[in-house]
Amino acid sequence: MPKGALAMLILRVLQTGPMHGYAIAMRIRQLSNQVLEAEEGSLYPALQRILLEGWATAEWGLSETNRKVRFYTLTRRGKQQLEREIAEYAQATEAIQAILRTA
Amino acid sequence: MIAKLIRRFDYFLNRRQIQRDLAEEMAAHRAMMPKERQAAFGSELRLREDAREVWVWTWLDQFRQDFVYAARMFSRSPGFTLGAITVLALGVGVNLAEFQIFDAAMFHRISLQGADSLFRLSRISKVKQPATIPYPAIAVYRRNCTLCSYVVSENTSMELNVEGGGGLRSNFVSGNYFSSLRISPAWGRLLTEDDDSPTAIPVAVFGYQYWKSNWASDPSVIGQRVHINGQIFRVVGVTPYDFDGLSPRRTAVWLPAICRSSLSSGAPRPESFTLPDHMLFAKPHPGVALAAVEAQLTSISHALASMAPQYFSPDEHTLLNRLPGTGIDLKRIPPAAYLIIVLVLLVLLSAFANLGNMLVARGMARQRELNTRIFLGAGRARMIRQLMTENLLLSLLGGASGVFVALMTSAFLSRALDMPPDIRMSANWRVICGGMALAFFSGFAFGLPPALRIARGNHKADRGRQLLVALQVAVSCLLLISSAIIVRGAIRSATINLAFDYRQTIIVTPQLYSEHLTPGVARQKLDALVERLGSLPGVDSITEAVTPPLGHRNAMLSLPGLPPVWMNPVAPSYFAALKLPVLRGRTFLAGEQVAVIVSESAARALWPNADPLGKTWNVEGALRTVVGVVKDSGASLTADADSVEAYIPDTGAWVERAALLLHTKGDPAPLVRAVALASAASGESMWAELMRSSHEQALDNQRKLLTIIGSLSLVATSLAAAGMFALVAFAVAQRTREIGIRMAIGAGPSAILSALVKENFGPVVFGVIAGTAAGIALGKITRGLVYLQADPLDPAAFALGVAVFGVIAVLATLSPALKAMRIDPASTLRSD
Repeated sequence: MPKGALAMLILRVLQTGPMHGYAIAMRIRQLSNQVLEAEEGSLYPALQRILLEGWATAEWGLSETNRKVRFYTLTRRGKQQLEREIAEYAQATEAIQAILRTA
Repeated sequence: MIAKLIRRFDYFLNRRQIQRDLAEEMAAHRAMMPKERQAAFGSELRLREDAREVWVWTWLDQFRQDFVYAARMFSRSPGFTLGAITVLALGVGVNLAEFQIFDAAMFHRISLQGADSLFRLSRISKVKQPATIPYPAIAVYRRNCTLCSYVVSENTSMELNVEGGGGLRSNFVSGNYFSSLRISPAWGRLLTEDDDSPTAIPVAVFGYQYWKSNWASDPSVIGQRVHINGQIFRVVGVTPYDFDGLSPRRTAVWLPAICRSSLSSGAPRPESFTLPDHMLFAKPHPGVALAAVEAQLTSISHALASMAPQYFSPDEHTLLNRLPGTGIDLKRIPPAAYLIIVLVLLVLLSAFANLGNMLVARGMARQRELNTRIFLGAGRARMIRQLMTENLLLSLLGGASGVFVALMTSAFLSRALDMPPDIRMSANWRVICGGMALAFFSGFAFGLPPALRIARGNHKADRGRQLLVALQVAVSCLLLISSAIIVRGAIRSATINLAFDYRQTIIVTPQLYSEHLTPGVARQKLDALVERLGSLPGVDSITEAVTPPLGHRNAMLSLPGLPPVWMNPVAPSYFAALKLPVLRGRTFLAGEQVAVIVSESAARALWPNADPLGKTWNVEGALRTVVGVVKDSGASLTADADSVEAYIPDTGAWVERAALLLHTKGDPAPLVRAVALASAASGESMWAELMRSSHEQALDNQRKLLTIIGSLSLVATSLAAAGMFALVAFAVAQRTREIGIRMAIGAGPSAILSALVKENFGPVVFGVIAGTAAGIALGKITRGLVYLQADPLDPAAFALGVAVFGVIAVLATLSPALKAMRIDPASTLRSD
């Protein structure tokens, strides 16, 4: 998976509401039909980068199973970033498809 | 962007907590995963490392690693580290301290006794007010400031045109200025209260330099009328050559403060409150708190606010500021100061060369370790960065110690030099920044070339190192030679025996030249005065001289092929009255005109191998016959090392310029007052002063100079010693194995020693020669500049300097050389 893509997926998943790390991983796996599952742990460096960029904030809380976990919440800047990335992604895919169609 | 930086910084502060949080979070994640899939989580350690890298700048992290490594390397070789830091600290510290002292002494100098208890007034107010005041306010302050011994004013706001020569700096001063500051005139009289009154005839006093350069040192200018800005002023005197006022500037013409308004266009009446450009200076009574004086001055300003609201305001405060530094009076010997600056820079150069050499040697010693690192995959850039980080750490430590040394040195010097408290050196930011900048510069300039060379894997002992050795030796030699010259000269001049009795002599200046008399009348008047003053109680002899020794005047002749000749027209009784021994021949006869008496060194210079008596010498407008030889008086030697002296009879035009010298039986001080009283009573303008006071001042200045130079040569010597020691110690350390093998195959201690010596012999000899040559070149330049009774080409000083260097070199290399000879071949060959 490209380096920035994981961050984009995480932001997209968080759009539905605050979520902890395991839930984010589960959701990505689920949404990608089990394709994106290699090294679940690599989620964490990506999450750290999201925190550094200020796209999300983290807070300790209790999970559904009463475990101490950290919930990540999308910030306004994070939403903006997601929108920008989705738009760029769409643009890029469209361009690639255009080439594939005509070539 | 900023927010991101803050988050990074926050991470840095809380990194341990954040790392723990992450570990906990990841553990929880794993625990939630089904057992069979837990392996898919990946290596937790690596992931945590990846997470950390998100936050931390890699280069910063590597820098930290390099730094820690450098610190470890230094702690492993404390000898090198201590040596390098000492060298840097000495080089940097001494330079900073000496420059601090010079800055203080050279650029804010006032030759004035008690200048450190004199203050400049400044006024602050919410409404912006000028610090200076209009003329009538001077009198108000002077009258009402009862807590001060005196208040004087200066006004340097105007440039004047005197007899067609324009752009001359002027100083308009209050009537009490010269008498309060106790300044004695070189010629004539200075300005008084009477001159600073509306009814006074306009008078002017010339500055010594201006008088010398524009009026050819002619005392007959006194009494003349000159045009100043188109108005007529009478010249009444010349200030002494070592006084230029309280503001640091040269003054060509001194005028009474009251003349300021009449010389400006529009000529406002002096009593009106206009032209606020006078500056005030006050000397509080001893023991009075400055705050009290400031309060009194402030209340005076408030009172003035009702009289002149345009210049004074009721909310203003008056402050007393110290004068900008009053240091050692090096003004009389400024060329010596340049020499010291050169020496100080040489110390710095020596320290830098020393450091560069140590770094090169160390790089060579570490070649093996560095090669291993390169072999293990460290890149060139990374190696250079590593080495430069070490240099940086070294600079940091050296710079910090340098600032410390600077503070210690300047504290020591200011105590030794007896500096007034207002130029006490303190740890200001300029010193600290300067020290650190010097240290970083040296670390970079002398650290980078060896680092580059090592990283390139260049193993050969190169020319660069030999050049550094030579440079260091040359600088050390030059420093030692220069120090030897100055110390020898200073010691000699401090021990000059004045051949005449200056302690019990006073100088009285009758100022007959101001009356423009014919020589005959002048002679009559002077004789009458000699008669009168000679009969004062306590006077045991009286004589005449135009340039009294140790006084405020000099008369130097520059004749081709001769050292400077100090000329003095004197009366026949001069030699007996001052107890200056006559070695050969006789003194002048009464009425003798075309005779000359020379000092013994003048006789040697003029007629090296012949009897001077009876020789003729064309000097001072006449072919004169030498009638006597006297001992060198020593008075001119304190000012010029090579000078010789000659005396001619004070006949004709000289008479009106003559000063009287009174030799007393006991303490001459009461006589100064008696003469002053007598002259005031008779309405004459005579001036009396002690001969010994100016001499003591001059000796004191030399003692101070000797302290500076002595401390400098001490540092130069220790630097030279440290450099030589390091050089040989490294050679021995680096070649321990080789020496061991040589000994094992039968080389004796002397063979080892000669091998060691041979390695550094070439550069050292080259350095000694270069240093000596530079010393000669410097001596050629400074000859005649150094008024120190020092001969900059003194061969004995050269020999002494080189000899001291030789002794130091041997002493410094003795211990490592002995160590080399004690090397045990067996143990050397066993190790590695």
